[in-house]
Amino acid sequence: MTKYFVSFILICLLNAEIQAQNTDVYYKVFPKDILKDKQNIDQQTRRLVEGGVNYAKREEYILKINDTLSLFSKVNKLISLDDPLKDIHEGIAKNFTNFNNQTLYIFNNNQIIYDISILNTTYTVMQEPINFNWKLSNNQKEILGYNAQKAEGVHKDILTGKTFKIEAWFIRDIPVSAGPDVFMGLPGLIVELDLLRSVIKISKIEKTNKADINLKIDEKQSIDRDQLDKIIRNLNTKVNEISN
Amino acid sequence: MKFKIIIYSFLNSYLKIAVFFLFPIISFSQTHQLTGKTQDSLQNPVPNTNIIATPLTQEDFKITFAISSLEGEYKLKLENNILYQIAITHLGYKKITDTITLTSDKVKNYTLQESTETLEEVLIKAEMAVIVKEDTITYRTDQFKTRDEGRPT
Repeated sequence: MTKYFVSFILICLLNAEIQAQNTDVYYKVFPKDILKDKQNIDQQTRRLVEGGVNYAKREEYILKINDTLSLFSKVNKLISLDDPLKDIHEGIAKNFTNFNNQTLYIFNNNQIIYDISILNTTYTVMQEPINFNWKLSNNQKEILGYNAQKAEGVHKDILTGKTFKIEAWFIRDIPVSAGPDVFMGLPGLIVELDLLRSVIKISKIEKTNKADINLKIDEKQSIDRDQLDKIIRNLNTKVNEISN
Repeated sequence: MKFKIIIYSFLNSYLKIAVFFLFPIISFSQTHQLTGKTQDSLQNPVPNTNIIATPLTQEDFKITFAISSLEGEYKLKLENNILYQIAITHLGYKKITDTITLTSDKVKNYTLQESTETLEEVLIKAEMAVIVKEDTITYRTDQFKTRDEGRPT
């Protein structure tokens, strides 16, 4: 069933560009001060983390939305090549959000498809949208001229299995249940998201006429959430065996 | 005998206290389910429709929401005898506003009327200087800045 579904998506989407108007929502990352209460960290580690913070601050993400789907991905930027620690800094920067490489949400089938990298292997996972157990609050504030409403939820990290509280601000007047990465499920577009190590904020919304939602989905590597959980469990077991 | 009286007296008091505390919880935390379908004018299910219930009479109660399933089905848990405003929104359909007070479980289907409004138009509308919302008109003052206001004094 999964294979047929992926095939259907591929036929519909992969080789064809989406012929509809897009709305591009841009987000920026605001890393939290994770070194604040950690005095025992050596100077070298501190410098590496600070380098990662600077990389995270420069990161920009884009959420492309049309009438049938949304696609979240990182905006590729040219970063100075004279940084010998570029890969390390990028790796640290990624930890502030832990966003997947790209996340697609198909509205009519209520499925999300995302690329997740684990130990240099990228898996394409397809599952129903994650339930964050969102609770709406009466708190409201203005974001980019829109009236945004607060919601609180709980997120379970895929890799560590730990749960933590998250906070989101969404716009009711934009009735698209989408947001950064896998964070969605509210009755409006998520424009601000408070995660464990960073806050993600909308920076701009652009209306575009370009039909430029291109997907790169590898059918052979598509797995469901149960299979992903099994892969992670096996890896964790191996890591524990090595460390013991 | 004396021991029995003490036990009886203790249980009697305990029961009274328990009833005193439990009764308000039981009577005020009663909820009912509002269920139904969101459908278009041809009675086809409209999935991913937002159904938001905002309590109008008491601020203590939380706003709740549901997003309809692929079959257009939704389920909301609402407090007993509390007036709620129900807002039903979906991109490409006109917004529906309803009010409801539940004293028992209820089934209610909502038929959405198609709208030609696209996401682009929704965004443009949100950026307009004048926002008309039901019985109120809000003027966005930031849209009315004159050139003089921007000049340094």
